[in-house]
Amino acid sequence: MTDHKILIVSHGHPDHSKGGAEVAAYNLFKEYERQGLDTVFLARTDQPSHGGSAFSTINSEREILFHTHMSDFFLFQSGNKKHVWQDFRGLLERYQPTVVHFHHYIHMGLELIREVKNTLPNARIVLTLHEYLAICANNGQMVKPGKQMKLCYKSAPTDCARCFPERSAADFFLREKYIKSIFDLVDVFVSPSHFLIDRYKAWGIPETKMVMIENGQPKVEAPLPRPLAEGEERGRFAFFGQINPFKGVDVLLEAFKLLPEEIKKKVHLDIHGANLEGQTEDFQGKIRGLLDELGDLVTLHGPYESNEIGRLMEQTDWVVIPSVWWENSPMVIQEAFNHKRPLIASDIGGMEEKIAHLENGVHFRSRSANALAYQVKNAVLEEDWSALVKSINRPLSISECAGAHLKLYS
Amino acid sequence: MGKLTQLLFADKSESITEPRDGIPHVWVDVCGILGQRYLLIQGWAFHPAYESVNFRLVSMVGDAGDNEKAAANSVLYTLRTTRLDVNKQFGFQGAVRRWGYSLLLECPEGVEIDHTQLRLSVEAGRDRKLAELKPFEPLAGGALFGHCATWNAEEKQKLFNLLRTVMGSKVYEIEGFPHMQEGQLRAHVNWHWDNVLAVPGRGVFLAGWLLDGQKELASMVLRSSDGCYSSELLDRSVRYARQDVLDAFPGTAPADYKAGLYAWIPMPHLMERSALEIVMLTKQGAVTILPLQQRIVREDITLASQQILVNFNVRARDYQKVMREHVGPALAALWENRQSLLGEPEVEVVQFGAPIEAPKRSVIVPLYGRYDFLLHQVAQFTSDKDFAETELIYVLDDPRLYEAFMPFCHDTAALFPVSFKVVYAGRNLGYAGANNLGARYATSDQLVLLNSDIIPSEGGWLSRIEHKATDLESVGVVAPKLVYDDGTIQHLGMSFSRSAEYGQLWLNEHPGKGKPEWLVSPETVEEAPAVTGACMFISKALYESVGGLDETYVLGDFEDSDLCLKLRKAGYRHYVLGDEKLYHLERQSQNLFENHDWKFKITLYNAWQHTERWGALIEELVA
Repeated sequence: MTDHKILIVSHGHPDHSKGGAEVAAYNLFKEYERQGLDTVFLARTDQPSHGGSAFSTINSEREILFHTHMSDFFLFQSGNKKHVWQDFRGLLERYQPTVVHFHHYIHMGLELIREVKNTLPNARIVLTLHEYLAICANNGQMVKPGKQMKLCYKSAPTDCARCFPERSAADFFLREKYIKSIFDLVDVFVSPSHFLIDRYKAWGIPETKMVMIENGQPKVEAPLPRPLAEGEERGRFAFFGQINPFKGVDVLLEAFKLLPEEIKKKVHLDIHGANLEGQTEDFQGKIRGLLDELGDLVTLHGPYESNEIGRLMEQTDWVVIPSVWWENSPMVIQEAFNHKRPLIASDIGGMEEKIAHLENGVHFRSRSANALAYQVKNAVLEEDWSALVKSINRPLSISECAGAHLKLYS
Repeated sequence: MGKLTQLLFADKSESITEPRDGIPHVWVDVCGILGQRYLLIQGWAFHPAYESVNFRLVSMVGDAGDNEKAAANSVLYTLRTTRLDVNKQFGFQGAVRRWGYSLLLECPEGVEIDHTQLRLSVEAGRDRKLAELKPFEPLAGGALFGHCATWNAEEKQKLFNLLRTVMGSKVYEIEGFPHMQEGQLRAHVNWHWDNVLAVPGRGVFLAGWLLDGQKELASMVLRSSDGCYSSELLDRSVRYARQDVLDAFPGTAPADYKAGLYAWIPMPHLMERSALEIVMLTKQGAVTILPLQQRIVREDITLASQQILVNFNVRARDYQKVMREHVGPALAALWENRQSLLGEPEVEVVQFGAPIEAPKRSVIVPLYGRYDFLLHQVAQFTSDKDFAETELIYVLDDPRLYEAFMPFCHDTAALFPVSFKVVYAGRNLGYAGANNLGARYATSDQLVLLNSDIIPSEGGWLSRIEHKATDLESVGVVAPKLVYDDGTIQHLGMSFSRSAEYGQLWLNEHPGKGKPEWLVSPETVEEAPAVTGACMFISKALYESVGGLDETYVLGDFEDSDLCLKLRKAGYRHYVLGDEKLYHLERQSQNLFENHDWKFKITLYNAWQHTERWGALIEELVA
């Protein structure tokens, strides 16, 4: 038991949006509450508030919505700085947290971190890094803008200016200097992957300030292996997550197109994916075209609720994560492990780190539909599914994850 | 007038003995009084035996009266002219000779002249011929040029120039010049004025084109409705090629004719409400007067500056002359006029955060064009303990930014614990003016002039640089090393180099610019002829002793070296600290020597001013 007062700041509430970061932040909050700790969850929302106020509550008076926004995504500038120096400051002064744990600053503004230092100079500031936002102005993806979406290995003002011709190297230099001036105020950075730590280390954050803690998973009864009919192979593949150009669904569909006819008879792909309608027409057209060509081989299910995940995993043999960007620690990997399902994953970044090739999953050369098709065929015909499943360790639980965080708060 | 004077002969009246017949015929056509001050006598003298003859008036009475006085006045100018009719009359076949004459004499004040008492004496060698005069009558324009049909155009031009030399702009007011309608004149001469910029009390900038391929015009001047005339425009305008004009009027001018025309026309008596006219006089003595629609330039001079510079060719051979006579004075007039119209600014000072008591130094940062640099600097200064003892002054030098800037400062101050004050004059003062204004509101005795696009590489730089400066000898300005975002050198002191391309003007140089540091191995302390204004440490007393930065440079350039040279002249030395590093994100748009747009031309104008002022000292320093 500690006498900490923990303010958790998240860029969204899972009741509104189910991103991995929001869920992880909320899980942590609920776990602290369960443990009887003094904690408040502050989640940013884009919904209008009553009477234009900065705050409202949701579920309980300890879950506060912050109705604010950002005006500048290059420098992560708050779009309403009064929200920061008046409303957020007031909240800090009143609540007097000893720990402020940011799970994000996007959509709110980096100034929040500055404000904690202004108002509560002794509060411990923890920041969980979910993407490469500080390093890369392309939505923190470290993927170069443009159709080819080339992977980026390192940022530098002159290189970044080539990605964004409307900006100068000096702009990127200033951006880095500014973000670092704020990051200097952070006591500990938490990252759910070593890969992300390495990228931030290369960017200039001292390694000693960064700690790797995997996102915690709820305790679930892992479903039994999917019962097979007589002569049936382990041929049910599933994709979970957003359908956007970074997630590689197009690679996955191309791979299924490339499967030999006799394999196609043995497999099926379920896509549990959200947000296709929010994508560019080009991209939507490409995905829909592939879906049409594949016909019955693929089923597009649309989004799912988190309580459905167990049932969906039950009907799945293999989870595929074909992302064409680095990822960090995608939720689906821990969920798959939590449900004892092996993964077929791109061999880059956080995916390569979390999934051990031929141990608890399979890698394929990222972005290659051919390589993925080969691994899908292999999975059906050759792979020892049970051996892979056997090697899957139970992921970090939410309470273990909370325990690891509490150690950082002192 | 150079050529003209060679053709004019002074009258040396020596005693003549025996008249012979070397001067068989002399005739007087016109005896006139001009402007009640001059006598003009025109006619012809046939003297094939002599190359040249002398003319003078002689009195027939010797009464020491008025006519004697008139005769005593020597001929001021003698102009000899072509008279083909005289050739014809005497069957003269020889080489080209000029039998015509125009004599100009000063008319003694209050003198009554009786032409019967005087004779024109034409003398050469031992020959002399006397000719009778006609009654002296006020001369009209028609008569002036009327009898000289056989003169060539150059001679008519000379007569006109002669009259103008003695009469000044009154020459245009001689009665009786035949008036020519615009349409008639346009049959021979064409023109169009693109810009007529009037700067009251200073002058007019005229730009357009004039197509006079046959050289019909003898004169072109501006005059104001209150009777002030400009100087002659034809021979002192800048002319440049306008192929489009030649194409539009084919066959009217030689292929190399320069139709483009612009000129700064000083008219110190030009009043704001004066109407302007352009007066054009042909060599036939016909006058055309046309109204000219001017645009009065007031405080906003950007467009006018561009219009002055647009046709200024910095590659032309005579560009320095054009700079000195036209572009320079025109720009100076715009700026001076602007200054006097604007008067003293109403300065607003706003303190953000708690004021710093008894600051150790005042850092002055002008802001122009973009203000987000304030956030970037303040974000860096926040972690620097020196700023607890530093008066940070932002001078907003851009009225366009004011409305967004003030709330931005308020928010920034609420979030970043660095105190600063904003000084705003309500208008753009230019780089020098903004710094000078900031200095006026500085309360410490140490100034640091800092550009907004400078970001320190680490905290504590202010106190470290001050400490290092204490041991230096005769210290004027101290500046740190500045580097670009990629770490290459931006500034390690300034030097000067002559521009071979631009008429040997002295230009400021940043030696080592763009090189990685190891290629220049900077010294810990190094003296430099000048240092950049981007980051300058100087005592306030010293700064004020030389009047701060000079505000006559336009758009920010050369003020820093000018300041350094002023101090240098007063015996102070400037130092660069090679072991102190700040980032200078010098904007690409400031690299003006890359293109030839109007800003580049302004830079050249500044360079020219700077060279005129400091060329000699620079030569000593860099020798």
